[in-house]
Amino acid sequence: MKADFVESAPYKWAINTCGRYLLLLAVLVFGVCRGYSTGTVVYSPTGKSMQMLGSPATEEGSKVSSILAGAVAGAGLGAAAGTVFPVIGTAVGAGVGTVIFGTISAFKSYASPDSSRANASSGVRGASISTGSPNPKLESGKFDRRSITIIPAFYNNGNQERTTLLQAISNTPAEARYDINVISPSALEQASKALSVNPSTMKNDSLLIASIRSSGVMREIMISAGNGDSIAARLSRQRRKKDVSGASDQKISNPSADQYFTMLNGTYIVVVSLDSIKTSNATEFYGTAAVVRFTVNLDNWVNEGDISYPNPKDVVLTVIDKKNIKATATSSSDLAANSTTSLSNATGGLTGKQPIGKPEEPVNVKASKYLVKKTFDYLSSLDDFKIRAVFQNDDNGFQAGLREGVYMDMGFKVYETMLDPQGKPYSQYIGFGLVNSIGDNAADYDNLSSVYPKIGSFGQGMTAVAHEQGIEIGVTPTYCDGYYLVGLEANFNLAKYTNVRQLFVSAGYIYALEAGGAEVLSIGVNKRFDLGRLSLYTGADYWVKTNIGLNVGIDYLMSPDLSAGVRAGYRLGIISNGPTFGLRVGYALPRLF
Amino acid sequence: MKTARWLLAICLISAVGCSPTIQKSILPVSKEVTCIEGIAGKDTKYLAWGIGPDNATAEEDALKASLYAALVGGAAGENCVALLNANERETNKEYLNSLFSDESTWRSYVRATNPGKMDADKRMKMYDGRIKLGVEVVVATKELREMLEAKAIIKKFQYGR
Repeated sequence: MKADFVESAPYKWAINTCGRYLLLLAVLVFGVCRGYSTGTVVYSPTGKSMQMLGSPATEEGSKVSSILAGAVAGAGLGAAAGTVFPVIGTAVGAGVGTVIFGTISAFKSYASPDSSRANASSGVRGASISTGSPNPKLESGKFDRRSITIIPAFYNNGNQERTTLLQAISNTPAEARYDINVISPSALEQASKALSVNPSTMKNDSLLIASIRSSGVMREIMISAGNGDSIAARLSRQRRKKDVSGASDQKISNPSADQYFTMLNGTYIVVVSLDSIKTSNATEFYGTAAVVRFTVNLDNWVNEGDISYPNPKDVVLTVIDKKNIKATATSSSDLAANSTTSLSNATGGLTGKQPIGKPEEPVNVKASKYLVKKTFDYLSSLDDFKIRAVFQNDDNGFQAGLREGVYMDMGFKVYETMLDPQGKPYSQYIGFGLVNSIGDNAADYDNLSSVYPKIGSFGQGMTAVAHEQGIEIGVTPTYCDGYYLVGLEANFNLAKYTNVRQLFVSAGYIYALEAGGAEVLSIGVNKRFDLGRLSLYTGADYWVKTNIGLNVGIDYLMSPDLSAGVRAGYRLGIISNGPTFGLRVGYALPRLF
Repeated sequence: MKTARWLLAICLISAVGCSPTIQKSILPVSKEVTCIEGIAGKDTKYLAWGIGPDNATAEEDALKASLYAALVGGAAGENCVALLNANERETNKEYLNSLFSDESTWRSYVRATNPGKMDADKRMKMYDGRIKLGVEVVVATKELREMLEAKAIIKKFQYGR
């Protein structure tokens, strides 16, 4: 690398160096300022709610995250853009960075569960039955299992895709954090055909809801979700059972009113509209997923012989979120480019490699399966479907595990329910932890998962709420062999796939601030060891066609997503050998896949 | 002046040392209990909210509270009747204190349906730092009645009482 640097005249060097440092400083300040305003504005719904609830830690954490996220993004993108247009690029980069993070934050706050959960409970007309939950909108509140019905809807597509998509939905294992409402395949197909939506309908909530109502599927879902057999039907079955098998004549327990309430109000329809299909090198399904929540009035029931269920006319439907979803499959049986390993894990058969002798699945079947998988991934990112579990002991063990899709290094924010002097409950943010052991609660319901407390300390009775993290981006100003470098890196946590905690692969871009601005790409691997809020960093990386390096460092977790630290290492290679020293600021983005 | 200070200090220390030992509360701190249902004519299930400095103490307080409700009443809900009437309550205050001071005895009449299990909606930290814990407790009311009858605390259960 050194050989690529162009020596400059001293005054040019001074202008270059000082100018760029000043620019970098300006970008950081700009980023902080923009980040501050972004944090204040974008987080205001959640922040205000938290402030009302008396949770300064959460509010501050969010604000700090946003501030420094703005700074990181601004500095990082500014540095990248600055390689081309040093002045304009950095400034524009800072702005773009904050806009990106503002958008991410806005998305997060849009999906905020607070108002929705409150409506789910208190908005029920005439419901006289308590959920048993004193305040369901609390972050630390009870996790009520959800049930969903995925209905494919089509626009200008033939029956072939309908069939494959319906099959993909029917074959989806209910392994995750929600139940699938088992309505009959014929009813599902009928609903799919009756659901007349197009891209503009999907954008209009009231049109979408009207379409769902007219499809007739709500009756099926009400019956399925509430298991709404009448007592007479149950007793009738019991009598038959007794007559033919001599089984115990003890009463089959009926679901309690609370259970009915929970089951029916935890019901969702997910409409997946397949808007267009493109086929070139790969088959691409472009769709929209809309999540619709039921709010049920339990005072008005329909009786149909032995079956009774809440009157669908009185069910309030609310569209809580929408997202564009794209699924791509190639004919070479290689889904890796789109789905990565998670696809194979989740569906248990889509490994991308077909066994010898077994015919390859048609691409539209693959794309359908992938579309369903992406829909589930999308659902798990919504607050209504986040895992919530209570610590059952003081060793940070909580009652969620494989059944709910808990994975190694999955992030959890921890809250505690507090009572103010007036006796009003509110949630207090306690800290953040990463999963360090996964309980196999499919085998034994009492097997607990546990988290390593990164921020704060936890205790029995506190509530862990999933806070899933994706790629961590970082800015790394570094000194190496007489040169000042700025790196932009992305770290991807492999723990989910390897079960080895805090194991990352990284890719980066490094830019020399001085002497002509040499650039180099880097790839690497690093392992981090937890020491409370601190992490001991060890890593190795390769600067393409330049050198290899070994690094150690310490990171401090400032908020669940934001960390800062120092690095030291030694590089050895063709050029730029010697010790390195640097700083690092990292920000974990929300999980996207 | 110095001597006076010493004397004052000695007096204070003596006063503290001679004062009666601060005892652990015998009766339940919390009286917030809801009667849920009677079970097979011999047990009664309550939802009791216990209060204590930690989860374990709060759970213990919930057990006591449900037993207290079974004995002297005060539980919300319509299904449960107290074992002691108002007169028996007044005349047996000492006995109630002695019952709750003997942990092995009072514990033999109560059990939590999910001991040690935490429910998100049934555990709260109060503003003074104490824990408020909701526990479903089954009280062996039939056994309790028989014990009280044997000790002549209450009259034998009979028709017309």
